[in-house]
Amino acid sequence: MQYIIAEDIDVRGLKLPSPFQDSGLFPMATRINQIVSVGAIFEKGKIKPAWIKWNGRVFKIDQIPYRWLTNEGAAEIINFSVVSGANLFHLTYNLRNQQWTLMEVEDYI
Amino acid sequence: MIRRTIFHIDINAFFASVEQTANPSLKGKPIATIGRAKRTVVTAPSYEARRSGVKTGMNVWEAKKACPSLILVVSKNSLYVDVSKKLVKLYESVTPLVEVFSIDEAFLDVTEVLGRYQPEALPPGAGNSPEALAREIKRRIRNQFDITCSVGIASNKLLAKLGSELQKPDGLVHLRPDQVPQVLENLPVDELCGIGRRLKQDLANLGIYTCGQLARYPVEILKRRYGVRGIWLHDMANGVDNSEVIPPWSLPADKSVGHSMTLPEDINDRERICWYISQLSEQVARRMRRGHYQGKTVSLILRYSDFETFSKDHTIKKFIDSGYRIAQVAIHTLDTIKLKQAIRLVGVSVSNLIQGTYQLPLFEREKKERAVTETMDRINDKWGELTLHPAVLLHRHPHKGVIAPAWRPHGIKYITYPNN
Repeated sequence: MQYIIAEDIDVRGLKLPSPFQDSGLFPMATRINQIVSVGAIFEKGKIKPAWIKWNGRVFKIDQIPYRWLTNEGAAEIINFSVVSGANLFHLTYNLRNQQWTLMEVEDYI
Repeated sequence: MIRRTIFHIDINAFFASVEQTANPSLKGKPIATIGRAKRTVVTAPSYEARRSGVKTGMNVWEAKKACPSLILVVSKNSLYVDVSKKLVKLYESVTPLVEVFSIDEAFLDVTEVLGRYQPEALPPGAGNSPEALAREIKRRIRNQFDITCSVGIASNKLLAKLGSELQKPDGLVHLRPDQVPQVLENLPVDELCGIGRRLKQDLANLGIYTCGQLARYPVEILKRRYGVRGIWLHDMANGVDNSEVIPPWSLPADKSVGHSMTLPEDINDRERICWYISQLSEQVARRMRRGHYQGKTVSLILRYSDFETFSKDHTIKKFIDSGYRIAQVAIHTLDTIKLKQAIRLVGVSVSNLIQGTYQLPLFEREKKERAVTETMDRINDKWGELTLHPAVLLHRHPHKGVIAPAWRPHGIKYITYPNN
């Protein structure tokens, strides 16, 4: 499936991902894949993202429902599913280059 | 002989349940996970969606028609793999005898731990009872992942699996030996693990529809018709299964390594089919080298647009483990086939495997090829799959794959998935 990866994409996904865009059957997540600034608390060997700065706005993180590990080659990536208001973000933290990436955003309603 | 106590644990609507855990706003709503490919189908509907008639394998239009309020969620394979690995760790904290049956199913042999296991938050001695132990595992799964499972308890794997199927979701069924004949009597034969559509039809031709009928059918006739499988069928219908729970360290060597993909559209252009063969061959070869396997039989699997599926093998003299060589053999096989229709699925598999033995390259060209492959492996190990790849894969299909039933959390069946 092709996703639209755009710097200026509307969070609510006005441009819908192909091939569902004409069907009205689109899935709920919008692909972002953008490096973002994140404020995080490092506590007892765990990383807890506290806020995300994205598109000029700061999103305070209310809840972290799940975290999971993946690899990109030898690099470990911590994935976070985080809730901020009515948004659910899929956020990753690459332990090799210390970079935070906002992968996807979806409704949290 | 000691009567074994086997658990079969089946996570209910695994992919959908995990999505509901990662996004709690989806809890209680009809959702369905779908693949990322263009021609995707529902891979797992939540129980809420199932109640509206959504089934695994439906295309998204059919699913939306059955349940207009259905929420479609693109599968996050890396998330499911993570949960599955954590579940296996949880099971292994109870017993070392854990056999992963698929990403969401496992067998546990708890015979030796019963009576010794004292789970916290249970009164002393509660570990003596299989039911109490099963409830404890269910509680831990619910606490850690907020998902439910069905547990079947029995004296063998066949009956344990049957037990977990009997009560879904969130079930706990202990099939005791005296209950088995009654449970099996009217059970359709295809409810037994290992009896598929064709065998079911074949048995129906003999007038056998239920396990009770199969159990009473003369074993000699079954043996004549199906060979050794006939005895296996007879045993299964009587609830007999002597297979052991095989933990990862006792697994037999793998017999084949393969990959397949459904194409974004049906094609009959040879060049494009060759691209896919090359991509699949690279994936197969990477896994083979990781497990120190080499093989000499290459199978090409093709599915026509009308879903007719067939495979053709070619065995060569030398053992190989390079994507380029595997692709060469598979493409040679393709050239011996006169395609009747467009192709919707391509697969490449290598069998006739040896492990850990290498013929050192003798000639300069082979030495260079080996050196290039090893260097590419080191780069890709460090920076990620296909960071460096053969030029032919410039056209590769960004297929993320649906998790295969053969997926395991260890060995060459362990496949990692990138982040979407």
